[in-house]
Amino acid sequence: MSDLFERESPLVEIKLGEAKGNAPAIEEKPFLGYLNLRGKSGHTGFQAATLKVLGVEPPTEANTVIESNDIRIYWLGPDEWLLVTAAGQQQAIKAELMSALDGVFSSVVDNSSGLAMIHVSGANAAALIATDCPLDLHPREFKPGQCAQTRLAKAGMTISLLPDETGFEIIIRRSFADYLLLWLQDAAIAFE
Amino acid sequence: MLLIKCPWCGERDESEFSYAGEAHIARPLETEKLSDEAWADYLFMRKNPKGAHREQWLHAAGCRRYFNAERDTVSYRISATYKIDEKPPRDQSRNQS
Repeated sequence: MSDLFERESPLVEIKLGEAKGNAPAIEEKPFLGYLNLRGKSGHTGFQAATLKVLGVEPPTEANTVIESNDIRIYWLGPDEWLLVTAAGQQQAIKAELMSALDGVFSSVVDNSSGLAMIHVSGANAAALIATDCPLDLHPREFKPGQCAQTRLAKAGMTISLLPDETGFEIIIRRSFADYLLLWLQDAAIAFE
Repeated sequence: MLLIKCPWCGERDESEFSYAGEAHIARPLETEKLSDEAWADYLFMRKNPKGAHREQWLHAAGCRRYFNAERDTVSYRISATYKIDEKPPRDQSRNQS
């Protein structure tokens, strides 16, 4: 049934032009899969199931992100992780996880339609985000492999460095996505 | 602006946190046998001290976990934070500046 309708990103109505001057590039990464995984990281059943499906156990170190089998696994809490998958993969991965976790105290929730991703990259990416973000984004403090949940322009977000370290990846609730993108575009004018 | 140390995430800006009342209040067992006074004491009566206070905080914009903090209600100085299931640190270093 859902095939009858065309997918539409929450940011479909916002024009994203080329970055001007020294302003960072702002891009949307639409239609990725987002799964929320909860469970006890020390539990043997949970460890075995995640190892089987994801190839790794979810990170236990706070505010870290790892990548395995093309899935990025973000630490959200001591018993909570966010899995970001390629577009369209989330349902298969969710089904695999749920069957592997059968009988284990855990939950897997598909949140793909609830989240959106924005990439901010370029020389002034950190300066642009720091305009209204309380986190220290200096490379000395915020390193590859780290992630953090904090606020950007009052909207809750999960931030991490892009794998190539040229900028930042921001995961935001879709209801905040257009607000945040417009805010980023506005704040970027200062760097043009 | 305060930096508050979340036991999970480390030092973060105070705007990420919210206050969640006095810490270490255990719900009484067998509440059906409690007197009205004891029940009201559990529900409503709080210490409200001037000075050192142990309280719960929530890292609302971060890992969304509750934790305990030892805070001076006069100076706002937070002398210690610890996980919700941990006992308060023994040394009360609240008077050091």
